[in-house]
Amino acid sequence: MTETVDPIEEAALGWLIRLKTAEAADWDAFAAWTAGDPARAEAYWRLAAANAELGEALAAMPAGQREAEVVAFPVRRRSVATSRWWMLAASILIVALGYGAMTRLPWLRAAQPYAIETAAGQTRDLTLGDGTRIALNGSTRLLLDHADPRHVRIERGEALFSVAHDARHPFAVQAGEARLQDLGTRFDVVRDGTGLRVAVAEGAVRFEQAGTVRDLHAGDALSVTPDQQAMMARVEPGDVASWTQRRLVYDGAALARVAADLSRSTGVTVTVAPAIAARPFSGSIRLNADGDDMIARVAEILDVRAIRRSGGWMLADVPSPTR
Amino acid sequence: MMGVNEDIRETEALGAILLAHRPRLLAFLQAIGARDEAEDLLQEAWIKVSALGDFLPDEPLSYLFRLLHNLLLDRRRGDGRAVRREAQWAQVHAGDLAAISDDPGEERRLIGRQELRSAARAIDALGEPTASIFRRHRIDGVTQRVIATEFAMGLSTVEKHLRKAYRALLLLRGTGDEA
Repeated sequence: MTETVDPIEEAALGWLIRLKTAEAADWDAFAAWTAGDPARAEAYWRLAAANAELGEALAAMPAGQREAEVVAFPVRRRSVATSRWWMLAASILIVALGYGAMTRLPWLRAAQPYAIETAAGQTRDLTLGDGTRIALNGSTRLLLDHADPRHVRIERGEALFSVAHDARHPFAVQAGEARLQDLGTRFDVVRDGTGLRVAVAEGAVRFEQAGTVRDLHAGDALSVTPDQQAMMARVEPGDVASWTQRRLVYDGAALARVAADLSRSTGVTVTVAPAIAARPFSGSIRLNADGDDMIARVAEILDVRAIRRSGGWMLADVPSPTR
Repeated sequence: MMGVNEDIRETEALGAILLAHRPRLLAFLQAIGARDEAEDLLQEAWIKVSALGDFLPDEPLSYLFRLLHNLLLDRRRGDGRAVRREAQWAQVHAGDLAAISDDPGEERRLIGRQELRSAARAIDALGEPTASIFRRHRIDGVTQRVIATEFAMGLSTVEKHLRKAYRALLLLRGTGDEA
C-alpha cells in the first residue's frame, strides 16, 4: 500500500479528531478552515461519513459482553422518507399557525416538561402524582411532565422505578430508542456510555425497541449496547438496584461498568485502565466508607491497583500500570 | 466569549438561543459546506431543540454547532453514499459473507456484525498503545487531555497516536472502497 499524504486530507483528519470534544471557539475555527477552500469541506465530509459508519460498528465495543442469550433486533432505523415527512409536516404546521398559535393548541399546551437531576454521589427520591416512586442514583437526569406523570424519559444515569400500576394508563420509561412499559413492577434502569441496562425486581416490564417486544419478569436483566446488541441475563431480584442499600452487586460485570457505577454512586471519579476494562468481576462492594478509604477497599476487592489521577482514581493492573 | 455565554444563560431555552444566534449559525452552516439546505437544516435544528423542553446543555452554542454539524452529516450520508459504501464494504469482505439471505434486513445485520469484527481487528492491528488510546477517545469519548494523564504522555503524543489510528481506519478503508 502506498502512503500518499494529502495535506487537505491530513488537516481534515485533525479536525475530525478535535471536533469530538470541541467548544464553541473550535467550531468557529473549523468553519474558518472549511470556508477557505471548497475542497476542504469535501475532504472533511467524506471522512466524517466514513467515521460515522465506523462509529456505528464501534459502538458495540465496550467489552465485558458475556456469552449470553442474544436478542436479535431488526436493524431498522426510521426511514429517511418517514422522518423527512414528519419534519415537513411539522414545518407546515408551524408556518400555518405560527409558533405562538401552536403553543396554544390544547394538546401542546398540556405538556409541562421539567427535569430532575442529581450530581455524582448524590441520590434523590421523588413521588409522582400517581403514587409512583422514583429513586435517582447519582449523575442522573430524568425528564418528566407535570401534565403526564405516566411518562418519564431517562437522559442518563440510573433510577429505580416503583410503579403505581394502572392497566388503563400504563407507566412508561423512554430510554433512547427503547421504551419500557410497566406491567405492575419495580425495576431499575441504567443509561450511560456503555448502553442501556434494565433489571426487574418485582412484577414485569415490557421492553420495546425497533419492533422487538419482550416481557421481562422479576430477576430478568436486559442490556443493550449502543449499537443495539441486546443480551438477557438472570440476576437475584433482591440485588436489583442494590445501590439504594449502598451496595453494588455483580456477577461477571466488566470493570469498566463497575467503575462507571462507582463514579455515579459515590461522586468519586473512578476510571479503569484500558488493559483491564473488560476484565470480569463477581462480588459485592459496600459503599459506606467515603473517598480514599472506599477506593482502597475497592481496589483490594477487585484485585487491582488504585492510582490517584487528577480529579479521581484510575484502576490499573497489579503489579505495574499499563503503558 | 464569557459575555456571550452569560447572555445565553439568561434566555434559558435552547430554542430561543438558536433564534438569537440565527445569523451566526446560518453563516456557520454555509462555511462548513451547506448550500441551499442551510435554512432547512436550521429549521430542522429548531424543531429538534424545541422538542427538548427546558433542556439546557452546559455549552449551548457548542451544542448547537454540533447539532447543525450532525444534521448536515446526516444529509450528506443520506445522499445515497452510505448505501453505496455499504455495498462496497460487503464486496470487499465478500469471502466472509457467504451466508447472506435474500432478506435485506438480514443482510444489513450480517454486514453490521462483519463490519464490527473487521473494525475490531483493524483496531487491534494498530498495536499498543495506539489501539487503547483510540478506544478511549472514540468509544469512551474521553478528552485528549484526560487520555494524556491516563497514559502519562504529552498531548501532542496523544494526538499523534489518534492521527495514526484514524488514518489507518478511515483513509485505508477509503482505499478499499475504490478497489
